[in-house]
Amino acid sequence: MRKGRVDKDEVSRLSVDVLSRLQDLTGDPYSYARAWKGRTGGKVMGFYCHYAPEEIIHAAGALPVRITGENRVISDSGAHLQSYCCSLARTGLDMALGGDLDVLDGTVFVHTCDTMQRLSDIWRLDAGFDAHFDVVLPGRMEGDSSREYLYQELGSFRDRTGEYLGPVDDEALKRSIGIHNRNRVLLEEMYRLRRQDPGVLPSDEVLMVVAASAIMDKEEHNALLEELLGTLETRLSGGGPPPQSSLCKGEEKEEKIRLFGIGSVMDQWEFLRMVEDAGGTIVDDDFCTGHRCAGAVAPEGPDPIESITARIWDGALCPCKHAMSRDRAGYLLERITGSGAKGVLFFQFKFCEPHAFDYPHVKKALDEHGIPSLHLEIEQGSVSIPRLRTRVEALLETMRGA
Amino acid sequence: MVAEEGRKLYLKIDATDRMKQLMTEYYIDAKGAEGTDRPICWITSGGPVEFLIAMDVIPIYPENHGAMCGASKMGVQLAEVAEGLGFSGDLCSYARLDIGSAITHGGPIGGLPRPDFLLCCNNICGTVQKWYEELARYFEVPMFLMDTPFIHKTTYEHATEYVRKQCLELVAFLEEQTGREFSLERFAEVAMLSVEGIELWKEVLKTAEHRPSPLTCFDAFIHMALIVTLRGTPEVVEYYRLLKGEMEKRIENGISAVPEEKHRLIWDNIPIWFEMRNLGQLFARNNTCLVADTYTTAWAIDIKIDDPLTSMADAYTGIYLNISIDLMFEKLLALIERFSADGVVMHSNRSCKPYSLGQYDLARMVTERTGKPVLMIEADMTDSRAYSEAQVRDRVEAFIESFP
Amino acid sequence: MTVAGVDIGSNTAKAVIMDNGDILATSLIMTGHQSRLAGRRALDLALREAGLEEGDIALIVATGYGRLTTDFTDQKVTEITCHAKGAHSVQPEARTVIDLGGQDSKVIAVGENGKVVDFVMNDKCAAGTGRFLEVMAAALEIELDNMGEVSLESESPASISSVCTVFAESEVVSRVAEGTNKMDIVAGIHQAIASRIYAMTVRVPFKEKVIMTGGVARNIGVVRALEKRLETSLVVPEMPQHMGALGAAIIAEERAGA
Repeated sequence: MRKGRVDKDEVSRLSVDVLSRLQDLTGDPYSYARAWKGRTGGKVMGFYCHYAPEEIIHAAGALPVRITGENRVISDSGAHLQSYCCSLARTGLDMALGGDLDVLDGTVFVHTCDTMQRLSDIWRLDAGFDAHFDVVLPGRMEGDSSREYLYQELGSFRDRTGEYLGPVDDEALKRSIGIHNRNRVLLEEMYRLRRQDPGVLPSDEVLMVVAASAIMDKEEHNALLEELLGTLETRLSGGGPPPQSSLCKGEEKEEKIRLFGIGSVMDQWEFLRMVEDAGGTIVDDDFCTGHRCAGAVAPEGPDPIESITARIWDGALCPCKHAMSRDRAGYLLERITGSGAKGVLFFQFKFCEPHAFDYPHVKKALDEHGIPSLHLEIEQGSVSIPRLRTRVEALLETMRGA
Repeated sequence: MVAEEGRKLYLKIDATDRMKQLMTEYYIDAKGAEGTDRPICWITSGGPVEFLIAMDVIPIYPENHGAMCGASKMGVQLAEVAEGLGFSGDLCSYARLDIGSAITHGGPIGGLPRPDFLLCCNNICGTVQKWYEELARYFEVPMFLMDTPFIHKTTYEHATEYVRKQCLELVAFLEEQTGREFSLERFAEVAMLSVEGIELWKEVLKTAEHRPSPLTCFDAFIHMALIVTLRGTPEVVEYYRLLKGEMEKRIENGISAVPEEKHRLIWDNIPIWFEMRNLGQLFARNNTCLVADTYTTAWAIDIKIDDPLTSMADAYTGIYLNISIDLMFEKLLALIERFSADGVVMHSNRSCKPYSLGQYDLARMVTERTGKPVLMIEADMTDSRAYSEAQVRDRVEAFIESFP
Repeated sequence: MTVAGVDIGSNTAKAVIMDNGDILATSLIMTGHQSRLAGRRALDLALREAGLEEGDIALIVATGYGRLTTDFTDQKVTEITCHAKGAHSVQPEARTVIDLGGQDSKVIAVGENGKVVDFVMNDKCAAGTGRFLEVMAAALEIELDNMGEVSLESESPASISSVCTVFAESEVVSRVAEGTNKMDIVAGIHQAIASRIYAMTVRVPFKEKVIMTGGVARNIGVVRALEKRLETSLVVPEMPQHMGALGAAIIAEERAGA
């Protein structure tokens, strides 16, 4: 029997310091913010969506910290959100109401879907944080007027947030943009190395690295990333213990099947480890807590708001955003092919409308290209790994031609 | 406390025949236009239809059709077609049944006429954006998205400017699609008729302020069809004048919609179309009139004749579903006061997140501020699979029993 | 060469012992709380029936949700692959397998070679599973095993529109209160299950022939309702609950021989 964990442990031992630090962070995501606050006396601002202009918050001297809900049983938020609301909103609000997010001074809500739009209201009315901001992004991400509106809205956010966090001048903002760009470049590099050889780092750790980037100081994360990438590169070029794929030469140690992940938030580490254990690996993804945080940088120029506008405008498109000129299925097919993935895992939250609306269209395109896929729908807090495992294994069995 | 059926529980509104006639003519005309050079545009219920009317484009409302399918209890079978294609059963049931109907030409009128282009306005939800994207792919027709930034606390000038610009973009889009020229004069004329129709509609709804009320929200749900689909036309103005006259006559003659009106309630959210009749009778049997609702008033938008473009941009951005819970509360509170309501019935609608998420908070706010009770009903506007009649009946009766 | 397949499901554990393509013995027991022990006991029972010992078995393949916790089996394969395999062996022309078990319902598209082409599986919702029928039987105060026969007597099935177990239960209770005939209610429940499963069948490349497996296949009422909804006749094998274990045994044979 193949034992995915052995390979992974082999790999992890190399950069154990960096990875264990990241694992600690993602295991208790807000302890870092608490320590940071104690150390700097700065303000901590929560945000849900990867479109949030973190650069502006950072430039104001605050720490932007991402909220993605968690696996928990709902108690308080059940009095505010119906059961047909996604778990991302329900568990996140539950954390806020239960005091688990008390490190936050305020929250920034970015307009994406109907649920987040209403969650913002409820959060503002009930969660009791000092500050609350809405960045009402355009729903349409094509056409000059939408781009102009996006620019204006980001400028408006800079002004509004400045009143609370302190004014944000151009120079500080440009510096922040540089730091955030660096982070995106480094994350992209990590993805590139994985596409080259997925054995270099298992998918749960890849996504943990990205998750950590959203909850800690970016400069500090950049330093960790550089160290990690250095280790991975050494390993790939033949130095140090061999990467996983060359370990897998025994008759039972066939190479892992490359999969591409599609979904919004992916924070189910146990699930990812199960996929690895079952003989698959998510080599690349379109998760909004994954590859969507990498790549597209803000082009540096004289007007920093224009730079951020360009980054959001040209970056990966969330299914919440409308642009008929950018077909999602076509975009995903290109990414899937480029990653060398042979199959696709849709990992989606129950009650998530934007993703559910796109699914049949994307699935059809995959079918037409002969790419097998599996659709999994989950709710944080009631993820049954054995049940999911049956389906993941069945997909892999089918792909192996069982 | 249950009224004996001395008088019929439901009193037919005479004007209904005229409305049915107008709606039938409208659909026959629209279906006849399919394949001719008369352009057909599918539009969302909150969309700026005045532009279409002014350009002689036939507007088609999938949501109105969804309501019809729901009321004819055909929602589930059509939704199942979409579910079979992989659309989740958790998606908006209007969208599901509409996609099902587009494919099978199913439903009470054999499906809708094929669109030449689509006009989607996201002031009612983000759902329509995704739904119309699917329609655009399915029919292979162009889609215009009117993007109306959500209002959390205040309206910003750059948001108004954005919507105003889009009104001009829409004009250009329509000119391109139809090959016709837009006339500001004609548009002003349509806007004027629209305002007139809207004013009359407001007055019809206002007659329910009278105690006992001449109409219930279940009547309003039916009679709203024209203000949604054909506002901006003279027929609508004529029709609501007729309806208003009938309601005023009822008041004069002391005729009430519910035989013995003892309690007055406000309805929140889209109707449960497949169950409207039963619900209307259930409340009437319990001497309760639903005197107003947050749904039909959503079409009572405010357009100013002197600057139709800007006021239209503001009006379409500021509708009930595009504002925050606290701003919604102000409107709900005003309804409770104006209509002397004893409480609120909230339809927690599985299909409509912008309408339903936040209702628990709204309910608390209502009770805290007014001391009036709120009843929550779990259902769906057209998917009867998410509805338990027995459960709702028990809750409604227990709720009404709690009134002094 | 003798091999075994063990299928540890949520309700029952099954074992099939095969020798060169012939079934030597089968067993079926309730799973109970300890799925690991249930698999063991099912295997022992089948071994005893066949008059064999574990040492006589060349290879054991486990399937079912309890497969991961077994320690006496050589290989583990999902029940999706196994059901396709088992169904294919008893009905080579089958292109669609509808498997309704205790907790899961699944629809599997099978290729000519018995391999899985595509599949869908219910998520958390119990509608269409044995569990759903159990809840309904309890609400109606009738025996689960009698539901099929009872429903066949119905001439006008009651409308049970809800598919959610909780809603459907309250609907059933209210139908009883209204005085609706029990056989009509049961028939209505079967129709509700059929439309739920129908929705799953259209999500895979659905082709005839259709074979039905799993414990619910023993309910003739559900079978008839499904046939009506799918407008095709269903093949119900002699031992519908054993198809997973049979598939596992066949895979064991293939792998042991390879």
